[in-house]
Amino acid sequence: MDISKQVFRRSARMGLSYVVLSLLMGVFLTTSLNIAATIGNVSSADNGNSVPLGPMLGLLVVPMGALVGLVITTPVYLLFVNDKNAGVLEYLLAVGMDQRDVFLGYLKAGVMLSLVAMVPVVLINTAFMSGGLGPALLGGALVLGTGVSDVALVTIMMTAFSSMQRRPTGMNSPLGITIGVLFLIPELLLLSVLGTQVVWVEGGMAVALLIAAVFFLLSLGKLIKREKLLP
Amino acid sequence: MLTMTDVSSGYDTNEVLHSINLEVSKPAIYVVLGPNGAGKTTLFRTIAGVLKPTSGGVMLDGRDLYAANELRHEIGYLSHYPALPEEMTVAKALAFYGGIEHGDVQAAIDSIGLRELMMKKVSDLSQGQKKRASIAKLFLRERKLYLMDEPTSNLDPVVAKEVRDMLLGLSRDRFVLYSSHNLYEAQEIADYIVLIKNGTVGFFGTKDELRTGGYRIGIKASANLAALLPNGKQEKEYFVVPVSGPQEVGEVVKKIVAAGIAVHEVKEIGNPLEDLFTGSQG
Repeated sequence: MDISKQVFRRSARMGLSYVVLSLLMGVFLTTSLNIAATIGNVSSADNGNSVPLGPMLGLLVVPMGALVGLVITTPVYLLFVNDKNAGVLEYLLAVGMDQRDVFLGYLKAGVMLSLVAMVPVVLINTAFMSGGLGPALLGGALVLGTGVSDVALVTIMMTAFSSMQRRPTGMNSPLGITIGVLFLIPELLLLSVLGTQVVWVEGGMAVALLIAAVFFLLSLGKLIKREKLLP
Repeated sequence: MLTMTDVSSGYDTNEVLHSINLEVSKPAIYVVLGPNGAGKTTLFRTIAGVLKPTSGGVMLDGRDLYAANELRHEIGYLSHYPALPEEMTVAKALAFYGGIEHGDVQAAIDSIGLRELMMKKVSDLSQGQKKRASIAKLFLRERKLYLMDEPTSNLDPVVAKEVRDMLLGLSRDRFVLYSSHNLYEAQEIADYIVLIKNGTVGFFGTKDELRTGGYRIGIKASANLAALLPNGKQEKEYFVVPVSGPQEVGEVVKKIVAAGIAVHEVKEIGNPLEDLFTGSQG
């Protein structure tokens, strides 16, 4: 049994404002960062050395793309809490799903929803990016890799956290965005230190987040007992 | 046939059911009674597969309920909660579960006359309407076993009777486990009574096997009733009369009124089902 498509549709309908907001954010951030990047290199006023500001601004698209992915998935956590309180999750267990099926359904919905916001980011970035298909593909892969991994990890953490609360109220949903942004901070800080070499950090972060998400998902059956999904 | 063998179950480290043994072999209505916190809901959740027992096993038609996932479709489970997605209309909520259970949405709608509620949002329904919509989802498929955790709570008397009649019809060839706090309702529809006490089965048998004749009513009237009701006696401020059941109360009152005596108050003094709860029987 796979409930991810229903969860995806329900989350998008319930959180339409999040969907619109994240799409606008994605388009605005990507466009403005790319316009800034096309300005090119800027000379330092101190010694006249050239700083490759353009490519660095272009790389900011990666964490920003992940951020819009996080914003758009907030309704998924809210829906999880609503469904738990209404007894929907209890009924899903009764019809034969186990707790991992339930979490996986919400996780897949979160990832699908994040793609709705991140794909336009990738397309706009690709359209702007100069230097051929290689950098464009690398940029797109980094945005999607970092974004999907971050969203997956945060979705698992937030649904698991909500299920462990005795009285889940949904008030912790913005916490998901905060946690997701925390994972992106190393990329932002290292960008100013490493310059364009930060692509290796971004790639590494994407892999690390993905491994953490898969580990949590596989552990959920043992970490979260069935009764944690009851109202 | 439903068989529970030495089933213990609960939440985290809190074991609520202790070594439950129960065999439900005949299609009928089995009313599960017990005081609050006795373990009725935990019993239903365990049979429904929502909770897995910490020990023992539950078999349906000789097959392990937790090993054979397809058996879950043979069980219809109505919990305390509506279990309906709040943002959906009733029609969409039933279609949502119909998709998951491969069920017949139209059959569910017709089962409890939901047509007028179909386009209403679940969040806009009254508690009673939510209960009706929630009951309907049990009829998305044919089931062998129906687990109804207080199905008539929040329902008006007319719909409650409709639900009871529906369950009576089902019980001709299906197993219906029905929990209730309403002792008179239990007396009215039960074929068998299962009493849960402190997480164990305190009594399991037919309604008739319960000690009967234990109903006593206390009457305050404008005159002494000793001559009119020779089987009664004065106990403090009430004249206490034993009756066979709630249905006899009206006849007693009519007899007093017919004798020209005014009835000021009628109060239930003893009820054998309540005695089961409090521990003086069973």
